[in-house]
Amino acid sequence: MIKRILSIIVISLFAYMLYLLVSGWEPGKELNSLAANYVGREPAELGAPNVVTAIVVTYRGLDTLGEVTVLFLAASGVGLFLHLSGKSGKNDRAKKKREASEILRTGATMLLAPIVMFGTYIFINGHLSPGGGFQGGAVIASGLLLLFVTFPSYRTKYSALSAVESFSGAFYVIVGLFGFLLAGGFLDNRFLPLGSYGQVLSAGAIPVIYTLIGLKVGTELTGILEHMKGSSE
Amino acid sequence: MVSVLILGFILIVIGFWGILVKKNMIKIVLGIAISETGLQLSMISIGYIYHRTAPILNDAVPRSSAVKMVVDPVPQALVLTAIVIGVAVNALLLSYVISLYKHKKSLNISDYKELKW
Amino acid sequence: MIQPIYIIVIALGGAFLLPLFGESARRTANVLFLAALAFIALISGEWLYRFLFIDDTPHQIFTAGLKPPLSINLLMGKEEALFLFPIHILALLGGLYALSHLDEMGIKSKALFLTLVLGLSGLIMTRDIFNLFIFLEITSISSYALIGMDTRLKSLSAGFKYAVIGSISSTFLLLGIIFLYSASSTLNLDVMISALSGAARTPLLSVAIFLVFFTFFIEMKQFPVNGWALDVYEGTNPGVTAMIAAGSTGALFFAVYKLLPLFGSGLMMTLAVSGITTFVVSNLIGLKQRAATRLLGYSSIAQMGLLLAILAIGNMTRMDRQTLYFIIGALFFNHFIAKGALYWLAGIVGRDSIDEWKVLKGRTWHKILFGLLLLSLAGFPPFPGFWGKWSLVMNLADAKMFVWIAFILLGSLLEVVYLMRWFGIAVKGDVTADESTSEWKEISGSYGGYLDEDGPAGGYSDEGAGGGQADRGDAAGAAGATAERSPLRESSAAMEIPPWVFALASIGLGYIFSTKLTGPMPAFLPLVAAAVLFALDWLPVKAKGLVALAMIAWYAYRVIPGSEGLPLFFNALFLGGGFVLLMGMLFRTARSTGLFPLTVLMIGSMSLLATTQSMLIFFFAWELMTVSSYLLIIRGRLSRNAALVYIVFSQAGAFSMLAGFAAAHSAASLAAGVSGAAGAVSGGAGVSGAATASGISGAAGISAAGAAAGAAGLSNPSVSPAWALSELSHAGIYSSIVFILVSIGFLIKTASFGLHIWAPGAYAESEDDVSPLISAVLSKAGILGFLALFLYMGLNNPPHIGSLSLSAVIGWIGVLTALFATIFAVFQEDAKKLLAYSSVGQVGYIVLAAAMMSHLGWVAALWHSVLHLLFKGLLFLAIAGVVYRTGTRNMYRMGGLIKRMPFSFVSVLIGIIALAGVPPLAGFGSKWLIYEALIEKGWYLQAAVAFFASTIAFLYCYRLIHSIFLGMPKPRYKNIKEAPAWLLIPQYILVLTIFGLSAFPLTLLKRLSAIVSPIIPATLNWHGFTAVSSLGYWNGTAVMIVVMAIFIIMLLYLLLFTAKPQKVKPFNIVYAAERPESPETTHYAYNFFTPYGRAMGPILKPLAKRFWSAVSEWSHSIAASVRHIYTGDGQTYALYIFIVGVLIYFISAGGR
Repeated sequence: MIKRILSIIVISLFAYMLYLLVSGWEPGKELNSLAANYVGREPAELGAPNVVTAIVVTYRGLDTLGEVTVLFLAASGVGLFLHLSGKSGKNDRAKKKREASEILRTGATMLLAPIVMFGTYIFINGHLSPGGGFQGGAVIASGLLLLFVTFPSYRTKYSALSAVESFSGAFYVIVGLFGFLLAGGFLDNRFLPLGSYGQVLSAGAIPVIYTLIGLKVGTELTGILEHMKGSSE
Repeated sequence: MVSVLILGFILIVIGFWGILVKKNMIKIVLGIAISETGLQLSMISIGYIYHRTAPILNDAVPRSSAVKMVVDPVPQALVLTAIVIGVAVNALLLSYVISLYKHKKSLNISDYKELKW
Repeated sequence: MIQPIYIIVIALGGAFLLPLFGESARRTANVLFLAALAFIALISGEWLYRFLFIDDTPHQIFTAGLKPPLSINLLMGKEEALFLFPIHILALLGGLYALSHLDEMGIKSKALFLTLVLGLSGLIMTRDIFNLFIFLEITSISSYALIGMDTRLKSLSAGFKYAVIGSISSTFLLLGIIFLYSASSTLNLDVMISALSGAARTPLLSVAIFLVFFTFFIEMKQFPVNGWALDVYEGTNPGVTAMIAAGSTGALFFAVYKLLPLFGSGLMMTLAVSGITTFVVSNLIGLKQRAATRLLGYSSIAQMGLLLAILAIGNMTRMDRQTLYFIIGALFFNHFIAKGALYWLAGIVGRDSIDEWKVLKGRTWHKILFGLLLLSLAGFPPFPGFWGKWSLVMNLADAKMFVWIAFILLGSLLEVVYLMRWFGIAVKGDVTADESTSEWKEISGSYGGYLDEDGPAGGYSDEGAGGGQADRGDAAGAAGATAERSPLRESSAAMEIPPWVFALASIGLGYIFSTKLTGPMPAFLPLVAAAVLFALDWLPVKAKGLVALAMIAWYAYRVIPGSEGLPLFFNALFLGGGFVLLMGMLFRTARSTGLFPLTVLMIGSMSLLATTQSMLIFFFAWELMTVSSYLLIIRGRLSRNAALVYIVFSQAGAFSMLAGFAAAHSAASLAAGVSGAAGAVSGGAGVSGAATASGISGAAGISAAGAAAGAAGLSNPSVSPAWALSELSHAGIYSSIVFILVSIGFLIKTASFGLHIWAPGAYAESEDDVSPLISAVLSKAGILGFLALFLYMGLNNPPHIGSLSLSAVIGWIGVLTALFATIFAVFQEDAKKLLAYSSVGQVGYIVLAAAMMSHLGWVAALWHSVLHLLFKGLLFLAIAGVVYRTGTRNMYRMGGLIKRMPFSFVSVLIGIIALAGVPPLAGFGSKWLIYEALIEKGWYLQAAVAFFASTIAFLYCYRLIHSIFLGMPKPRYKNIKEAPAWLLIPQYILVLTIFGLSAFPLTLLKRLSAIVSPIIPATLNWHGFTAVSSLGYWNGTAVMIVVMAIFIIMLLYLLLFTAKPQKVKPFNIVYAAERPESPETTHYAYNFFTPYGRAMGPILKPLAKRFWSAVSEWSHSIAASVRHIYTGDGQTYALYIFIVGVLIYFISAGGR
């Protein structure tokens, strides 16, 4: 009880600190200097219509590489946890799970291809539209999730999945390195030609990177889902 | 967008409240997830400017006048990162909960006090 | 130069690709894994080399080919490289160490390990605050995964708590960052700092900054929001913990350092206070902790608290950059190395509780490693922590932050207690039932001797002679052969090498740091000698001993001709005494690993103490002497607790001394500043020979200030060149407090009244051939200290408190020590304890004599120092021989040994005659000088007490002869042999010296007077063979001639004319006056002086022991209650975060 009262008190005090933030904050009227700089120079500099993508992939590309790493960590961690402890608790899951209904099975099979395609579309167009590798990868993983839900015994080809995951990650690093060796710096997208503004094959290496990210995120999230489902090996 | 900022803050506080008073570890993880969502909401609201559009410079937003027409792209880029990290942490936390549950068949956080003092 | 970006490329590329290798290709994967780590280390190593030796302009790395603030930039500068390289080496060695564990976990764990390295490198290099957040997350998430991956319950629950806390704190951080962005429109750290530095601290800004600050407050594990970290340290695989405890904290510390300008001055005080609080509280709680890895956790947290506090204080006081870096560097790397390696060792040992670390018994190499690491962690020389601490304390004193110094020293002392206790357990294992098993309460227990209720005084009481003999002598070395090799976890070379590399690196770094303070120094000579001797360990024991003797002789030959005055005296005392007493050790036959190196180290450091002219080296030598003697003492079979009490008291004394030095330094540098000699401060660096040291005013400045003021004619014209403590003469306004603090250090070393309780145990429990050195030689270090102190602080203007002269207080303490120690000695059953108390008492006389500050007093002090060394060394050696043959130290078990051990008998006889101060032997000279001096000084009351005490001394002297050598021989010892020749040789050297001094006392006395008279005008004169003082005269030569003549006449008479005495057989009850074969307790010699004991009962209560054990119990129970805040419940920890967060925010008003 004391703990609860204490919690109430400290949470209210914390809320008061947040209130200080809100009351001190004024909504912006103009872009600040940094944002204006990005918006003003980016199209000519990097050639991607989506400024957010340009920031994510190039200007703050190191963050994104880190972000991919974090996801990779989570996937590896989940794999290590659930894979290893799976050995001890195998008997719990011996029960056979109920088959999904006909509608679900047909629907899932039919939808899978469009979902994967849609995901691919999203990450390939990441520099043109509000899409990107993470979003596309997540969409692809959601297609796989549908499969997992529908077919409880379904398994991905683990080795293929992890090969795609590893290579897409490694290529991402290598593409970044190309930027360093051939252009201005690590993760610089301009070692490939910028192409014509607004086309799919433009903005240098941005589509390449987003494709690699899309593949990596898709496979990693799939891996996490599969581990959590508890069916891998 | 003060209203979204406030909404985000309310979610943060709700999430923290969950962390502090819920004994169930899954609920604690949910509390973390809620506060992360609140945080992400407040992050994008910081970059928002009234009556402006997304920073995608296509036909609808001519490059010449883009600076006057789009919102701040930086928080949007940051929030993308924040979301991914949030997902990663939550996945890891949940697998922690699963592994812990396998040991003691309990989800109560107070049951895991092997290490203390 | 390999571009630093490759650190990221290799770590990440490796991490991504490693999972491709299946279990079948594990070997290849392992090679690649280690190669990646090695290459990373190579890169940072190359940069470090460049920054140190070629060009220290920092290197900017712009990602995306664009300049900040548009893109993220990384920085590789000198500071970065200094942190990166060790962390990468840690990673390489840690990867090697953890390889088998990682193999078990699967290939992905190696990828996680690489990303952890990536995260740490990024934390250090990045200059973008959001990027910092990303790398923090990479670090944390790899840690969560590495911690929990073995899915043991412990690691899982620890990792889950960490992950929950980490998530909360990263929410704080991100919230702070986004508002900082809105306030400064940038994410680049440098731009942000300059943008915000002038900005007004609005509530928004202060909350935002506070949130960032508080994130790192949590991540740096400040009290009390650190429960999660302790759980992680305890619950995780040690290979992983080493990375987290050393590597992650290091990188996070660097991150804090980068963010410091952002926090602004408002939060500095918060940081400093919380850091010191963490330091003291964690070390306090450590007292109560028995789990090894958690104990290391407490120590780790404490050290990081200290470092943060230093960082904050350095910023607050605008400490000179160079100095700040030096202090932080020394303390950080000290902790980094020791902590990493200790966790590795913990993994090798594989025991949870420190009580189970006794498995190390018999594993000499592990024990040595463990000792090196613990000593380094505890901040002993020559490790970097020692130099850092010195410099820290001196600089704090300059800033007049004395309260902070007090807390820092208190915390350090607590750390010494638990670390050394742990060491004792590991090295000695369980101490037999004789010694009480309860932790630390032994202080009240077994040293008590007579008045303890539980029967005979602690010690060997029921040890069979044979058993005692077999076990005796060589606990450290021979135990390896006899003790069963206890099962440790399998450890491969891959696990053994990393901690050794670190331990050796620590010594090397210690040297490097020392050169920054002192220039290239000969002060490491004793250490080098010890190392050489240690390398010769494979030689037979006698050969090693001879090498050691040769070393001392050579060293004496080098040092003594060049010195004069008091340095000459003490050098001769230490080296000569050490040489002779060391000969006794040659009687050994067992391997005795470590014995000679430690002995040489102790003697060498004492000589350094006598030679040095710098306060820093004095303190260095003092600590070196303490640590080597501690290690010598702990070699004794039952000495675990005695050694612990010894080291704790010694360290308390040393810290008190350090505080005194600091106060004096602060006053001296003030004086130097006032007299416009500020220029001399930087000049001092040139004097000490290290151009780089110019910034490190901590020590280099001192000698300059001392020299400057010395030139001004302030100091005594006495000893030339200036002796070690000459700076103390400028203590000015602090002189009383300096005098008291420094005196406490010396009072402890001389085992003075109230502070003596370490001495009987330490003297008695160390090995029998080591005791002579410890008691006869080591105790003189305190005398040296007192003389040096009085020389500069007592003679001209003795400090006073009110009208109370502090030197008179010291004098009283000396005489009371003499009295009480003598009384306690009387009631000992244990021969070595008797000698130990006697030693304490005799040193009390010397302190008394020195405190008189008169010519006669000082001559008496010097004379008695020599004499005490001679006869106490002699007695301890003789007793060593007896104990060696009989296997017991209890005198009532002996008796009648005169027939079997006649040479030892003669030694003891000469020894006690000298001790008792009876003519003709030179001990009488001591008494004569002391009483003369006391009367001349007008200290009549003290003279009466001293006289009374010396009378009582006859009682115990008598017992030594009577109980051991006279009376009936015990059947058990019927066929006992004389002591080994190597024990007798030094005895007879000492006997001859005593006779020589007795016959020709003036040869020495004149020299001693000549040493003293430049300092204090002489009141002692000579007429031929007669010494003449204002009150009387003494002609030792004449007395000797007369007594010898009488003796010879009597002897001849007895031999020629007396009837043959009747021989008494053991069963001849009538003559023997005792029951044969009776239980020892009815032996006539047992409790011999009981009647006196009853009469003096109230005086004999061991009040000092009770006091100190109460202190110990209290601190333990405080620790016990404080640590209950760490409930182990993750939710409670989360609650603490919020409580502490809002408290700090509202108390500090957000740092505005």
